[in-house]
Amino acid sequence: MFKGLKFIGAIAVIACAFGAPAFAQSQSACAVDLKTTGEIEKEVVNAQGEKTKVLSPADKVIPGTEVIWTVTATNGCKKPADKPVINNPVPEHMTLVPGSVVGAGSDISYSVDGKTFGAIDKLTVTQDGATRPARAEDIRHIRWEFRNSLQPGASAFGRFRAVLN
Amino acid sequence: MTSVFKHKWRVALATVALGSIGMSGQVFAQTITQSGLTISNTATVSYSVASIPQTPIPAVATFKVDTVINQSVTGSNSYTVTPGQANVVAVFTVANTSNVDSGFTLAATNRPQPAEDDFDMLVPGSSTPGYSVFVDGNGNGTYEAGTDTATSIGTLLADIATNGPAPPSVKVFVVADTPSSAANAKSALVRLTATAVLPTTSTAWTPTGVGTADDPNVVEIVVRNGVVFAQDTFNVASAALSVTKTSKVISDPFLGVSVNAKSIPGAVVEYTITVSNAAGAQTATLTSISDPVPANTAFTGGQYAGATDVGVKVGAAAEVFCTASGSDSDGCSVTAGAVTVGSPAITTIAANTSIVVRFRVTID
Repeated sequence: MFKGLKFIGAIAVIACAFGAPAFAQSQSACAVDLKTTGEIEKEVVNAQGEKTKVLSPADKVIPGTEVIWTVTATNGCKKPADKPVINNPVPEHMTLVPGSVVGAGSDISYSVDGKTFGAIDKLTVTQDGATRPARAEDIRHIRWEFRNSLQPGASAFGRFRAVLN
Repeated sequence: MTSVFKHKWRVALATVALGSIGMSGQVFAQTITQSGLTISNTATVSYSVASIPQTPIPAVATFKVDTVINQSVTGSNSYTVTPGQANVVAVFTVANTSNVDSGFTLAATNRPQPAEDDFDMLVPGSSTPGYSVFVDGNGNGTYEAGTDTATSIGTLLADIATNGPAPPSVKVFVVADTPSSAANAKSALVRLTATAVLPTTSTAWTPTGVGTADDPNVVEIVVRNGVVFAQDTFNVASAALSVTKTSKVISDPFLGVSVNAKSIPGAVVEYTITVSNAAGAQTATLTSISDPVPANTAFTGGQYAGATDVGVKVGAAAEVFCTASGSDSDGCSVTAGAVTVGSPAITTIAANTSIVVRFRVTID
């Protein structure tokens, strides 16, 4: 669906969405900026000779590589963005790492079908005519519902880990 | 993973469907993701301003799946061989667990003595240490000379879902002759080494982009397991037979039965033939023990209890006696000047046991 869309440079900003009927557009010409980043965790030895883990741009990504996805929403408007919700389908060919989803100040819920969201242990999957609890690999959607409005200039982020199948 | 992987997008279209990516086609077999596939992560933020819902904003990051070269060679089989046995076959399995199609070159080698094994197998039909290697061309799992002729694997498909749930694999046959000098209970190890190669050039895969961050738009090559080996064992199973023969004068015409009887014409002489199988050897099947009646002597029957002709003692069992008539089925006969003892009087000889056969002749 993104075919034909053009983005310019590393930080392309095409200001102002023009609204479809369902989304009445406010008069101010600004929008929340969303950025998504993929990184891996690398073990490094610090100045004290201790092993620590740092995030770094992903080295080669091959099956089995755990990628840390970070999605950051920044309010570039002069008005608060209310009820910010970030939806992030788990990328195809990747499997969510259980317990890896974080997002300060947000309520996190999951979905196997993109319709029913809830806690992982409340989700079920129908397989071969039988219903069973959802497993990590069944989770295809993550949703962060931020409890507070995003003030002008403020950022909110969600993060999860997923392994390339 | 630089540039595009970190791009942020701000789009000017409102017709963005929410949460509809990555819904179908998920395969959770143990297969892996194909090299070169573009992985796309799309997040969307929705919000309201002054109670008015705004156009959801998506952000996309993508990367291409890099190539990983991985394989397995499975062996650890043991085969029993006999000294001098030709064209014995060890079977290995080579599986491609890469996310790309790969070829494999193959090499089978002996292992050093005495550090690892006892002797070297020989290239079939030669006295040169070594092996012949053949790929199971028709995939039936059995080595067929003349049919399985390829010596390297042209292409094994990638370990991805469309190629089936298990990693594509093929059997490899390592063929050798057992040297006739191979002794019982000795063993020879054979190592099959497979090297993953590009199907097009048959040259080994070379890593690319080493030491640099990932280029999300380039399919780089990671060689995880480019060269892998496994070993099989040939165990020699052989009987270790030895034969001794002794003689003793039982009686002569002057002294009769006496320890002092001399081997003069008319004297009766007993021959004792002992066949032994050494400790630790394999049980041998004995077809028969045959001994020519010496020149200038005549087989003399009826010398043992019940007018029997030949004494046979197998291992610790009590000695049994049989008749030399070829018409009965006791296994003993005298034909063409030779004493022969076979089944059922003797059948097999276990390790660390002996069979003792005795009979008597009269000196002409």
